[in-house]
Amino acid sequence: MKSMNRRQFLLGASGSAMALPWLEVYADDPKTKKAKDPSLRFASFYSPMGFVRDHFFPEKGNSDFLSMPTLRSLKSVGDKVTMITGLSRVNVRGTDVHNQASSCFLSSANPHGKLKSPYPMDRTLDHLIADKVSHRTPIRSLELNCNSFKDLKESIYLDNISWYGPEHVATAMKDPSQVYQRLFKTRSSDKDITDLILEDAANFKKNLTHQDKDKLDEYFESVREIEIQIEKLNKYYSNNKRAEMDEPGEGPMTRGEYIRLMGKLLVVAFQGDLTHVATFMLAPERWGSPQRYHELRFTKSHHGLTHGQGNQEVKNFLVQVDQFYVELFAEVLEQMDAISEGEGTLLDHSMVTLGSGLGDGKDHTMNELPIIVAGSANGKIKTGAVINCPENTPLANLWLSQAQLMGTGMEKFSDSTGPLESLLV
Amino acid sequence: MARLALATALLASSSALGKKTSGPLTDFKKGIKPVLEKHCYHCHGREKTKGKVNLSALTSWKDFESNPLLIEKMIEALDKNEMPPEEETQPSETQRQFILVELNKAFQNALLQGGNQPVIPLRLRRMNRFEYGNAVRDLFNLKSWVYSINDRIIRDHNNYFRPESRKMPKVVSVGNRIMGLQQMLENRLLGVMAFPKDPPAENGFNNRGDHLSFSPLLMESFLELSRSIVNAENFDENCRVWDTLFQDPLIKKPGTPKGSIDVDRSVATRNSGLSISAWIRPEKTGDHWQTIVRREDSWRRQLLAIGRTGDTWGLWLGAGIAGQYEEFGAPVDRKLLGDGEWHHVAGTFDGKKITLYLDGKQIGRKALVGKLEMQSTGEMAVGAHGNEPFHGGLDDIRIFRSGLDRTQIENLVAKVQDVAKEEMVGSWRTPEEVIPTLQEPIEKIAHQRIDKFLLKAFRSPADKKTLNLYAGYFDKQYKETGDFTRSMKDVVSAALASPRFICVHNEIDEASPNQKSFNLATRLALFLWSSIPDNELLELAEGGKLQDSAVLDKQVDRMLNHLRVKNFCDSFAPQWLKLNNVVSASPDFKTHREYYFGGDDKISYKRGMHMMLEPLLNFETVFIEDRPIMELVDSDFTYRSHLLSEWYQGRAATYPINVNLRNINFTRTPLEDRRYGGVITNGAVMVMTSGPFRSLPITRGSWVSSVIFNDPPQPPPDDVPDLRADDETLKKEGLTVRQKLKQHSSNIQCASCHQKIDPLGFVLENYDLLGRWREDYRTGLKVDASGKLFGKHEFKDVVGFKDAVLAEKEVFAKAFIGHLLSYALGRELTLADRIAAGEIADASKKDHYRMRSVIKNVAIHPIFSQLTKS
Repeated sequence: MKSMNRRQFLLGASGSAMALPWLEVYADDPKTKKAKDPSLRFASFYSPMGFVRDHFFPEKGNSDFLSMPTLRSLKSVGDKVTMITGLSRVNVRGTDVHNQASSCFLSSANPHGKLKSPYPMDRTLDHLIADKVSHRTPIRSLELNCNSFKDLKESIYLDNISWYGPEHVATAMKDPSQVYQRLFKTRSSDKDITDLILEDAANFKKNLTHQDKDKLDEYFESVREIEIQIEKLNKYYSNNKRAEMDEPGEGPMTRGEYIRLMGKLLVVAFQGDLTHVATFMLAPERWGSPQRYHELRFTKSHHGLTHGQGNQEVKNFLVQVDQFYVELFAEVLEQMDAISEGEGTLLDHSMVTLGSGLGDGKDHTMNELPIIVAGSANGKIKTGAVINCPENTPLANLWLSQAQLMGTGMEKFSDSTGPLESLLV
Repeated sequence: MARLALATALLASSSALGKKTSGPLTDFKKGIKPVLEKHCYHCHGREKTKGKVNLSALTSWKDFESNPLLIEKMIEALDKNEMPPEEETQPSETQRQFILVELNKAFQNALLQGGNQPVIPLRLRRMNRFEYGNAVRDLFNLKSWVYSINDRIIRDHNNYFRPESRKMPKVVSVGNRIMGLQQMLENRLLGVMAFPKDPPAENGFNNRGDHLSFSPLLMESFLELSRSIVNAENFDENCRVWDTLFQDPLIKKPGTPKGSIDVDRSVATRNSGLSISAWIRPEKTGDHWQTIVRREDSWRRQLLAIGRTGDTWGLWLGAGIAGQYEEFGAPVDRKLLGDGEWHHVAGTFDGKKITLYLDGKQIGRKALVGKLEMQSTGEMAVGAHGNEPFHGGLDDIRIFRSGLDRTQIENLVAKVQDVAKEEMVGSWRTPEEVIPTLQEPIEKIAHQRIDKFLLKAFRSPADKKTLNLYAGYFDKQYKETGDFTRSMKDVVSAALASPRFICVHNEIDEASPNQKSFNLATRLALFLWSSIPDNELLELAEGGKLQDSAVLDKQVDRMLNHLRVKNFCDSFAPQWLKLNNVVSASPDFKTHREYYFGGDDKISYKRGMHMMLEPLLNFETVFIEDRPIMELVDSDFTYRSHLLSEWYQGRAATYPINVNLRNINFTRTPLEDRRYGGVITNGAVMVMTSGPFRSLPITRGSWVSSVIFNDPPQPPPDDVPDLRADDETLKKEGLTVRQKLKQHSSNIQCASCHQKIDPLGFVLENYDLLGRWREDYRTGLKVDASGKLFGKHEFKDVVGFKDAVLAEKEVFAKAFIGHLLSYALGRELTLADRIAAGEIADASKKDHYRMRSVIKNVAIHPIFSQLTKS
C-alpha cells in the first residue's frame, strides 16, 4: 500500500483541492457571543462480511487496538478513534444471513416483529437523521457505494445499506462523476414540467387502488425532493464558491483509486456543508464474483476468502483485504482531520462509523460486530479508547445514541434498550 | 427467503398434485392418523419436534386446513421420498399415495376457505430499464435503439429471429454483448443515458414490483431521459411517427422528401406480381446507391433504386421471387437522369419477367418465372435506406400488386388518372403539394395528435382533465415560441416523465370505459414484448373486445409471432437460467489458461462468451419452433460456433487477438450424444457453477434445484466449515469430492437438505469446471455421477438423469410454469397461485407442453388475464 501518496492526494492536483471557504455558520452566535457548535456530520461506512477477528479485536483487557494488524493504519488519527465491542444484532433464522447483514445493518430492525419484507427492514438511521437535519444543507443525504462489479447478479439487499423503508431502497451512487455532478452541478428548475407531471400524477392517483396509491407516493416524494434540492443547491452556490475539484474522468481506476475518489467526494461534501448525512458501502455484502484488488495484486472473491479462512494462506489474503479497506477508511479520516473548522477539525465535528453486519464472515454470527467510531461529535463522545459493552448489547443502542447526538430527539431505536452511555463523555 | 423458497418449491412439487383430488376427506382418526402416528410422530411430535414441525398437535382435518404451508411441505416431502428419512421404516406405497391424495384435498380446501381466492392484480411498479427502452422505442416506432444496455445478451446480426417462420435458420450470425464495445456500437439515440441496471430478485426476475421503487436519484434519471430522448440529435431522423406527431403542419419538412407507404395487406395475399412507379429528380448521380423505395422483409425485401453495381449504372428492381432474392438492373445514362428534370421510372414483375422503364420506354427485361413472395406488410420507406438515401426530388410513387403492362406504364407517364386503380396497394406524394392551407386551426391539429399520442403512451385514453393538461401545455409553449415541433417535443417530454408512462399500472375499472381491456393489453404487452401495447391491441381494448376469449386467443398468437417477442426471449431466458453468472465466472488464469483465448494476460477473451449463446439459442429454437419444453432438458440439436464444437471435442482452438467478435456463426448441430443439448448440459452452466480451480457440485445442485425444479435450497446454516476440497488435500486423503462431502454433511441437520441437492450436482460432475467431459478427476479417482431423483428414479450418469427428469416431466413443467408465471405477474408467487399454476400445467399437457402453448396458457389464464372463466 506504499503506492498511495496521501499527501499528494490531500493537496490534490492543483495543490489546493480542499480550499473551501469556512462557512459563516460557525461564527459566533450574535446573541450569546459564544461560538456555536459546528453542525455535526454523520457518516456510516460499511465493510462486508466482517473482519478477521483475531487481527481486529485486541485480547480482553488490552486497549491498544491501534496495534492490531488490521487497524494499524488508523494510528495517524488514533486519538480520535474509538473501538466499541460487544454490539450485536439478532439474525432471523432460516433466511439469508448476508442479505440481512447489509440490508438491516442501519435499521437494526426488530427481528421479532411482523416482517414487512423478507428481512426485518425499516427506515434506516441515516434517513431518520436526515429527516431532522436536512434543512441545514442543500443535499438531503448522500448514499455512496463502491461496488465495482459490472454484473448485478446478486440481490438488492446485499448491495444497499440505506433504505427509505422496507423494500424502498435509497438508490446509491456508484459513479464518481455522478456524485460530482450532484455536488457541483446547478441547473434551473423545470418547474413547468414538474408542476404538470405532479398534477397529472395527482389525477392519476385517483384511479389507483389503495396499495398502488402508497407506491405512487414514492414518485411524488422523489419529484418533490429533486425540486427542493435544485432550489437549495442554486441558492447555496449563489452564496458559496465551488470546491476546486476536477471532474472525475472516464478512465479505468484501480479498486483503491475508485474508493479513494468516492471518499474524497464525501469529504468535500461534508466540508462544504453540502450535506451532513452519508452512507458509504466499501463493497457489497457477499457478491460471489471474484474481484481485482489492483493494489494487493490479486483477484479473489472476498466472500470466498471469508469461508476459507481456516486455511492460513487464505486467511493471509483476507487480512490484506481487511487492511486495505481500513486503510482507505483511515485516509478519509485523515483528510477530514486536515480540514480546520473553527477551533477543531472537520473530523472533530463528525461522527463516522466503520462497521459490518457480520461478526465474522466464516461463522456468520451477528454478535461481537466490528465497530469503529471516529470523530468526537463536537466533543460529546469518547475517543482513543476501547468501549467494552456487555455481551449482546443491541447495535440499536449505538444507533440510538448517534440519532440522539444528531438531534433527532428519539428515545428508542428499534430494539434498543437505551443509549450507549459508556460511549458518551 | 424461506417464504419464497417454499412457495415456489410447492409449484414444482409432485405429480400427485396434478391429480384431480376433489371429494370428501376420509375420517381423520381412522384414515390418516394411524399412518402419521406410526411413521411421523416419532420425530415430529411428542418428544421431538424436528424442523419445528409438531404433527401430533394437529388432531383434526380442520387443524391441518388452517395450515396450508405445512400441508404443502408434507406433500413435497412425501412425494419426493424425502420423508420418512431413508433409515426409518417406510410406509407402503399404497399408504403413501393415500396420504398424498388426502393431503392434497385438504390443501385445496385450505386455499378455498373464505370463498374464491381473489386474483391479486398487477401491482403498480415502475418499468425496469429494459422495458423502458423498449417502450420508448415502440412509442416512437424508432429505427434505432434508445440506448445500448447489457440486459440484452444476444445481438442478432442476420435477422435469424423470425417467430412467424416457426423455423430457426441452420446458421445464425450472433454476437454476445459481453464481447466488448463492438456489440454496443449499434444505432441508438445519441447522448441518451440509461439508468442503472435493475437488480434481480432472488430466484426471480428483474421485473418484480417490490424491487422496482422510486428514489430521487432514479427520478432524476427519468426526468433527464424524458428530455434527452426527444432532444437527441438523431432523434428526428430515427422517429418514424415524426410526420404525425412532431411535424409542423404549416411547414415543409426540411431536407430530402422522406416518408413511408403503408401498403394494403392484399399485396401479400393476392398478388400476381409487383409494379413500382415513381417520379424522380436526382440531384446526384454518383456511384452510390440511392433508394427510391424499399421495404425490409428478409430475402423478400423489395426495392427500386438507382446507382451502380458492377459495371452497370442504372435503375434497379429487387424482390423475392421463387424462393430467393432477385435483383435486376438496366443501364441508364446518368447525365440524362441528372439533368434537373423530373423523370418517370418504373419496374414491373408479372410472374414471367422483370421489366424496367424510363420515361415510359422499356430499358431492360429479364425472363424470370415464379411467384412474388412476401410476408411483411410493413411500410415501405421512401427515399431512405441506411446510408443509401435519395438525393433530390421524389414524387407520386405508386405500388401495384401486379405487373403492369407497357400501355399502363405509358399512361402513368402521361398522368392519365386512376391507372390500374384496383391493383394499386399503396401510394405516396411529396407532402408539399398537400399542405398549403390548413383545414383546421393548428392548435386543434396539435390537440388531436396529443390525444392520440397519450393513448399510446399511457395505454389508456386520456380523460378530459389529462388531455386539457397536456394540450394546455402545448398551447402555452406554442404561444410563447411559435415553434410547433419544439412545443410538441415539450409536451411529449412531459408525458414521458408522467407516472402514467413510467409506471406499469392497473387502473381501477371506473377510470374509463373498457379499462379492464386496456389493463389487459398492457399486461400482455409487458409479458410477451417487455413493452407497451401496439395499435392493434389498443384498438381492440378501445372496442372492449380484448376480453372476448376468442379475440384474446388470436391476439396472443399474433403477439407470439411478432418480432417484439424477441424481448421476451432476451429477458426471460437468461434470467431464468441465471446466465449472467457466466460473465463473472473466473477460472484461474494460470492453471486454466485454455479458457482464455486470443490474447495475453491483459486482453483476452473468455470461451464463456461463446458458451452463453448456446443455451440461449436452444431456448429460442424451442420457442420459435414451438417444441415441447422438455427439449430444454433433452434435445437432439444444439447451436454451436466453431470454437465451441472444437472445445467440446477437447480442442482448444486459438484465435488471433483481432478475431471477429461482432458476428459469430452458430450452426445447428444434430446431436446423437445425449450428454449435450438442451439448456443444462453445456459449457455455460458448468463454468458458472464452478470456482476458479474446481467444479462446485453443491453450487451445481443448487442451480439445478432452483432453475430446473424451481426449488431453491434453503440458505445453509450460518456456520458451515470450509470443505477443503482442493486437489492437493483430496489427493492426500485419497477421496473424491463426493466422499469428502459425505463426511462433511454427515451432520443430520445438513444431511436432509444435502440428500436433495447433492445428486442434482454430482450428476454433472462428468463435466469439468470448463464444461469438458471427464471420466476421472485430476487426482486420478473416477467420477461417480450416479444418484436418485426424488428418491425414485435411479440414474448412473447424466443421460440417465435426463431420462429421470423426463419421467417426471410434470414436475419440470410445473417448475417452469412457476418461473414463467412469476415473470408474467411481476411478483413473487403465493400459495394461492399454486392452483393456477397447476391449471396452466394441466392445460399445457394436452399440447405436450409445447413452449407456445405453455406461454399462451399463462396469458389466457384468469390469474393473468383476470377474465372470469366462462
